[in-house]
Amino acid sequence: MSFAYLTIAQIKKRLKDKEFSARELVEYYLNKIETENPELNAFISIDREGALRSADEVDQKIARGETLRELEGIPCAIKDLLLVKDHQATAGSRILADYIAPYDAEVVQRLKNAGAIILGKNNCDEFAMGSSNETSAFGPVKNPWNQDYVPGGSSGGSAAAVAADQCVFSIGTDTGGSIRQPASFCGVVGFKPTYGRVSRNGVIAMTSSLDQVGPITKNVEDSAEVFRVIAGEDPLDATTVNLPLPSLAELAHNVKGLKIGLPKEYFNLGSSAEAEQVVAKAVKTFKSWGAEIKEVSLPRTTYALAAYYVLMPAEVSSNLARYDGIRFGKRVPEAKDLEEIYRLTRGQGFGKEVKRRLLIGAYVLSAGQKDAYYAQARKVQQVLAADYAKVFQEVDILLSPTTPGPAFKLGENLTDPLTMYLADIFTVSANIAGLCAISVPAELSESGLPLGLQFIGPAFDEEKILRAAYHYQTSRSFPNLGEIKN
Amino acid sequence: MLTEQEVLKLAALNKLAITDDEVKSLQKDITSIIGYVDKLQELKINKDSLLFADLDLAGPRHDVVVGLVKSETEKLVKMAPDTQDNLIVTKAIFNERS
Repeated sequence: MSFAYLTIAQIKKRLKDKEFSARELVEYYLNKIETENPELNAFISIDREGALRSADEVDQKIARGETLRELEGIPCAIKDLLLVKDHQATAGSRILADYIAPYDAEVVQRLKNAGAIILGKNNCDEFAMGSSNETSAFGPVKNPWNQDYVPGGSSGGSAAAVAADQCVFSIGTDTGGSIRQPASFCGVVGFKPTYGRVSRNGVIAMTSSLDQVGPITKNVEDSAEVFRVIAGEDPLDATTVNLPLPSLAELAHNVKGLKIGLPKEYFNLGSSAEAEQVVAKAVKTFKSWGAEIKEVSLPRTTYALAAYYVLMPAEVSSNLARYDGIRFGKRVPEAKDLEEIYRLTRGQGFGKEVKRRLLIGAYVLSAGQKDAYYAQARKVQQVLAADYAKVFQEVDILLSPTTPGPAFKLGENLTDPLTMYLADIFTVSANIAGLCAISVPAELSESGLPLGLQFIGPAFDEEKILRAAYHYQTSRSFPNLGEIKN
Repeated sequence: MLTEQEVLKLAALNKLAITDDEVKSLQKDITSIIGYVDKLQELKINKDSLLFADLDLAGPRHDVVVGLVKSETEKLVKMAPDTQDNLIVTKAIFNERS
């Protein structure tokens, strides 16, 4: 019996048909994680005992003939930026290395309520700051397609774990592309819902006005199913909304007449010929299904990344003020006075990328610079949101590469932060303009690494991008890693 | 180019100790990143073109104090790196005048 690369629907059916037990399934993933983690490093912590205990409870329910909940018995992983009660929550940082979460993030609570089994916590860039998973204090994650390459970031551990079949799905966070970019690099599906869809309660904050939680999965159907479980209003996150969610049945509705926009300026953002080919091929496919393709213009989209690298560090410098060595996290023992506790704890606890962003944040918010940078970036954010809203009156969704090219080598961009930041050039607009977006594996590059295709949709209209992405993915035979290795 | 003094000032604003080597590399990196985000100045934005996202956000919370039970406060205090008698221990906040 093979457990390899099973989807949620397949597992549900096989558990129900008693083809295997939940315990056998969980043991398959735990063994895989424990065997592969010394090299891949996609997990920071594993909860073997808790996962097996949950699996036994599922098996008992099945034996009693009880109805299983939406995700009952489905083994998953959680980016180590979200709190899981009584478990380590490091955010990939030394400063939180020993921190034990006192409560569940709302998303985690919803997953538990739906019966999902949490295998462990995925490695990530420190406080989600990075595009390669090389800023984690717990070492870099390797791309399972080729371990000389990065898996992307910041949800790099989540994407690598799903690609390597160490879990059925993982929960990531996306502030400027941190779900979609690693999903693209690792050949899996990464879905960033609209800001406000999923509660941030219990998510360690990076940029509160942009952070959004979403699933990384093996297919679009699984993303839609997990989304339905984790989304919804939460009184503890005042930015969440109570709006209807797309049903799974809607995914299969056809795409005839769907208006797809190609933003012409996106193709001047430095994408590789291979990435552009991905879009060109997809256009042909959608045309053959009766979708309407239209070139659209978003002339100010080139400013999205610059706005992001002002707004994000500004919020980072505020959000990370809480790590002061007093209430939780590490405290250096040698400090002589209170000021020194702060300075030394933060100096020793934070890594280089975090320090870089803290200083930029202080710079763009400083008295002499605030209007030129922070206030201007907020204005740019508003005009970009207006530009996208206008384009979405002409078309239903937008299509673009997810990343300029396939994954880059470990260490390649580590000393050049600006080049590293450009890895998010195609993904960041959806965050800045408050849209939803999904990356779906499209082609293998000449180097044998995956390339993703991105679908961007209007705010709170996830149904259209999920439907288009579902049709695209189910029409393709993009291989999973298990098929490549065999 | 940001000066070393400016980098040290930004670190001080963040209550962050940085080494001499870090000062030099942060000076280079931050100058380059600020140079990139400077492109925002190219955009002349008419005040009339600004809009605020029309989102139907959840309403404000009720202005009531939500108390914590003792077991929860104890748990929160225990997370601190140094505690005594259910209180968080810190260094003295005020120094004696010399």
